[in-house]
Amino acid sequence: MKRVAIFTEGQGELILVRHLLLQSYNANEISFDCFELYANVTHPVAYSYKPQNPTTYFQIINVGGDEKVLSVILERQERLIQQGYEIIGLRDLYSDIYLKKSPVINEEVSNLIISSIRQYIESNPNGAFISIYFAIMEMEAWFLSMHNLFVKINPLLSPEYIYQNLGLNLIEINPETNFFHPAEQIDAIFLLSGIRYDKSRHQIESLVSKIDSNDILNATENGRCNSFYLFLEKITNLQ
Amino acid sequence: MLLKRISYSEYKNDSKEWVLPNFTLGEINLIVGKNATGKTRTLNVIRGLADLFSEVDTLRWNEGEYDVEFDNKDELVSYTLEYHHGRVIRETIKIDDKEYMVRDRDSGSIFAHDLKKEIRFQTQANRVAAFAKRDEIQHPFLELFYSWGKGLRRYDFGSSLGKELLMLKVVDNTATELNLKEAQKVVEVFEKGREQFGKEYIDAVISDMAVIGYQLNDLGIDTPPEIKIVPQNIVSGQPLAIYAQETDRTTETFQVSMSQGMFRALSILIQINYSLQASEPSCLLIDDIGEGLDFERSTSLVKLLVEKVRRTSTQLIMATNDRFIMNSVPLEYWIILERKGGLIKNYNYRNSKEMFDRFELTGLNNFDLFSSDFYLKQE
Repeated sequence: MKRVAIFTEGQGELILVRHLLLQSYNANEISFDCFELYANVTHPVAYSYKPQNPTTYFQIINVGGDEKVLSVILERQERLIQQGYEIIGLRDLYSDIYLKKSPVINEEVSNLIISSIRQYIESNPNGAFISIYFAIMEMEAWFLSMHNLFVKINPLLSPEYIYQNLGLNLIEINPETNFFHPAEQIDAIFLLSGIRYDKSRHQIESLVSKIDSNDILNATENGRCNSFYLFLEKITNLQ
Repeated sequence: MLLKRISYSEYKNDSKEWVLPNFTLGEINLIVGKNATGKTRTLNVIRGLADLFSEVDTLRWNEGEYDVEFDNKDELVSYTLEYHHGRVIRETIKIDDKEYMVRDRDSGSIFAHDLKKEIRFQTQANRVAAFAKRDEIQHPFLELFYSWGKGLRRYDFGSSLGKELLMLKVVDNTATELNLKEAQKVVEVFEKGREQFGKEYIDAVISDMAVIGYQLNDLGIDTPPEIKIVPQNIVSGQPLAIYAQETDRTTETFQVSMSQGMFRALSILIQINYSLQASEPSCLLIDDIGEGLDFERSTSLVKLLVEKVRRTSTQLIMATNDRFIMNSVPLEYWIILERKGGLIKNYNYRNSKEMFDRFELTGLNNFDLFSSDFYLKQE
């Protein structure tokens, strides 16, 4: 059985990864456990999925911080690789380090950060077993690219209504290159229906549970959200 | 005068070859490297150079080649020395572009300041002219090297730093100058500091100890109750040791009863505070900094030392392979050593800025740079 450990920077990413796996694989193909890292110890969180005889087992671990993803991977790499795991990291590109370099989206800074982290991994003796992926600039950019997602939360939040009220054409726009802090756009969209986007577990679970295969297709059509495409391709085409 | 660059080699093309090319330094430096990469040996090379300038009458060592640059208030002071089989082959001094001394084997020429011309000289081949030709009137530039060498201090934090050494006042006590290079004689240094600077000195040490988590009410020297010397007639008094009165204890703790970590910290702070108050040292070399201290104390000690020397002209060169120390010292102070056979390469912000900048973008702890091959892969 193939084993894969996916380290995510937060709870939201863990919930999304869990959902994407269930959406992308046949029901009996995979199994997984989810964990949260607290005081450097992993604690089980919702939920585990254990069908009979899966071909791939995933461990999804929320490390609780964008810049912690790589360091947590480094701490655990030896043991995981010895146990036969492939390791994947998922983090936002938006970070304190990015802010120090640039207060707006800057392609040069983005490329420099991504290439530096990837070079670091390549310099690691276990580098062949580790890969890291970025949500540019945040996971919320991926939600924004799923333009029919919000109407499932509230029938009011159609792409047309969002465009009329906020000037955001979610069908055309590439959130990856347009929003430095996409969570703020989600908040603005939610506010149209009178609620705040607070990233609570309940809110993310509710939003993510509504993502279907059409939303996933919408997210990457016309070359949009390449970071989402690359991550999805990675977790669905494991060698 | 600040040591800016040192290249050193010995036993070239021999199985014992050891080469340290272009080791560049800043005002504050943390040498990091895996075991046996040459951290201690690099400090020894710098200490050896200081001894050659300030106290070595005849060469003690067989082989060595130095090519050194100092920054002296924006003047570039260059010095080279090559010796084999305990005899000098060549020695030169330049300040900026002007040649002040050239010496081949046992003779050479040197600029005479008062005479305003170069004069020829002869010296023994086993003596270093930079030290042997000292003359404040004719060759004042040699004092730069002497002062730097004399003012350098070396401490091995991994050693006892004088914990087991007490001070014994001998009856026939002819006054001898306190040699601050003898890092084990901490009781003598403390007594000297107390005599010379009084409460101000003791308060400075107590305050520094508090910064690193040791709360003391008092520090002093006395005879530990458990030690008596018999017969009495060979000494003028009893052996003396340092004691500390900790705020949460009712009795003094003498140095022999202190934890190794606490005493090392106390010893180094006694010595560095004295050196800084008596005459600013040119350079502090500290090997295995923080060894034996817990995370909080070791990192606080390093931060304290950096703060103390930042206000002075003293250069600080520390060495460690302690993870906590590495994580607490900014990368701009780092010098990573890597050894391939007898070749010791160094990586720092001056020669590998792009690599350090790229590493900082990873958001990892400093130690992760040390523990990876990232710095090697950037070449």
